[in-house]
Amino acid sequence: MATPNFSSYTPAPNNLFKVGDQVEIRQGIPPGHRRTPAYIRGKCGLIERICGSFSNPEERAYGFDGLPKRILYRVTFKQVDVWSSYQGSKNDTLELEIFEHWLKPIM
Amino acid sequence: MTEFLAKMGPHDMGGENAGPIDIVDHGMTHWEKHANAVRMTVSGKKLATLDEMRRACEDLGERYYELSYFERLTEALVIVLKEKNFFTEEIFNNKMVDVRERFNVPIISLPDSHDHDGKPIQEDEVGEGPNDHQVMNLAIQDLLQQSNLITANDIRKTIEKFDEDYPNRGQKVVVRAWTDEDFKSQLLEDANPAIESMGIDLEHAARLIVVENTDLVHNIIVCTLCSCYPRVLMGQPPTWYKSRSYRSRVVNDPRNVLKEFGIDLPSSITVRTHDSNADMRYMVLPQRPEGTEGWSGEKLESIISRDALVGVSIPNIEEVI
Repeated sequence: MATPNFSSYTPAPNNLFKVGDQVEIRQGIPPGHRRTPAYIRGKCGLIERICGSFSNPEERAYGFDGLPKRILYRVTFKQVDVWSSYQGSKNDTLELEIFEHWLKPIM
Repeated sequence: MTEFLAKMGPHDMGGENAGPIDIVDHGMTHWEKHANAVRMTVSGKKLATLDEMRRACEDLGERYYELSYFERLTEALVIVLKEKNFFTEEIFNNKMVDVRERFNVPIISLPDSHDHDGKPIQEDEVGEGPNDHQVMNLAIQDLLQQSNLITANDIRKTIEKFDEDYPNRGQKVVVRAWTDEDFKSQLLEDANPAIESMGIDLEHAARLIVVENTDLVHNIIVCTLCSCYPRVLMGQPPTWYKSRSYRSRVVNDPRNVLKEFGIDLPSSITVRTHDSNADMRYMVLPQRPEGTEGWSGEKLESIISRDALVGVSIPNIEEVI
C-alpha cells in the first residue's frame, strides 16, 4: 500500500504526564461547559496515550478561540475503580479523553 | 448504580439508572436531515462552533429531556446564532412567520379523475404542515442565505454527503484491514492517514482511533455527553446511540448492554468501553470470522454491520447476502 504522507498527531510540547503515569481526575463541579463527565471526577487511572494538543472546548463553548491549545490524554480506568458495584470482569476498563488541566499526578 | 452526587447538567448522564435500550435504528426524517445539514454547514463555515452549540444545548435544563435530539440541537443553534448577532429575536420571529406562510397553500380544485384518495393536497410529508423545529431550520437557512453566509447548495451537498458518501466507508476500511496486515498495523497506529491512503476524504475530521477486537478483548463505543461519532466514516449515528438509556448505561454496565444487543461475553474476554468525550472519534475493528477465507471484498463487506463498528454486534458468516 502507499505510505501515508502525513501524521494526524499534533505536537504536545512540555507534557506534564507520560504514558503509564498514574493520575487522578480533579473533583468538583465548576459551572460552565466541560468535557470531563461527572462520573469520572475524583477517580484514578493510567495515561494510555497522548492524543495531542487541541483548542480548549471550555473556552470555545463561549465564543473564544480556545488558545493556547491544551494537551489531551487518553486515560484508562479499571471499571471496578470507577464503580464499586461494577458487575463484570475485574479486567474491564473504561477509557476517556481528559485535558491536562483536569489531571493531578499521583505520587 | 449511581454513585456520584452531582452532575454538570442534563446531558451529563454517564452512569445514571435508565431503562432498556430500543436497539432498532429508527433512522432520520427529512426535517432531521435538514436540521443536521444546517448545523454542519454553520460549523463548517465557522459561523459558530459545535462547542457553542453543545453548551447552549446543555443550558436548556429540564427542557433538554422534553425535546428530541434534533429539536434541542435546533433550539441551541438559534440561541448561538442570536448571541453572535447573526440575527435578532425579532428578525428571527418574523422570518418564522414568513416561512410558515409558504406552507399555507390553498387547496386546489382538481378534476374528478384526479383523485388522491379524497385527501387535500398539502406541501408537506405528514399532512399537518412542517413542525416548529423544521420551520426554525428553514428560517435559519433563509436568514443566513440573505446575508450570503451560506447557500442552498451548501445544505443540499451536506445532506447528500450524509446520505450517500459517509455511510459504509467503515466497512471498506475493515475489509482492507482484514486482508492487508501492513494496512492494519498503520490503521491501528494512526488511522486518519491510513484511511485517506484508500482514497477516502476525511475532510480534516477529528482524529480517529481504531480499536481492535481480539480473542481476549471486546471494544464498545459511546459518547455520554452528547453523540460524538465518526460521521465521515460511518454516516449518522443510529437512534439508540443518541438515546438516554445507551448513553447512561454503557459506561457502568457494558456487559448487560451488550446482552440486550444479543452478545453474551464470557468473563475471560475483557470489555473496553470508550467514552468519546472530547476530540477523538472511535471505530471498532471487529474480528474476521472463521470460514471467510478466500471471500471477495464485497462478500466480506456484506457481513459487517454498522453496529459491529460501534461494538454492539459481531460479524456472522450466516448473515452473508
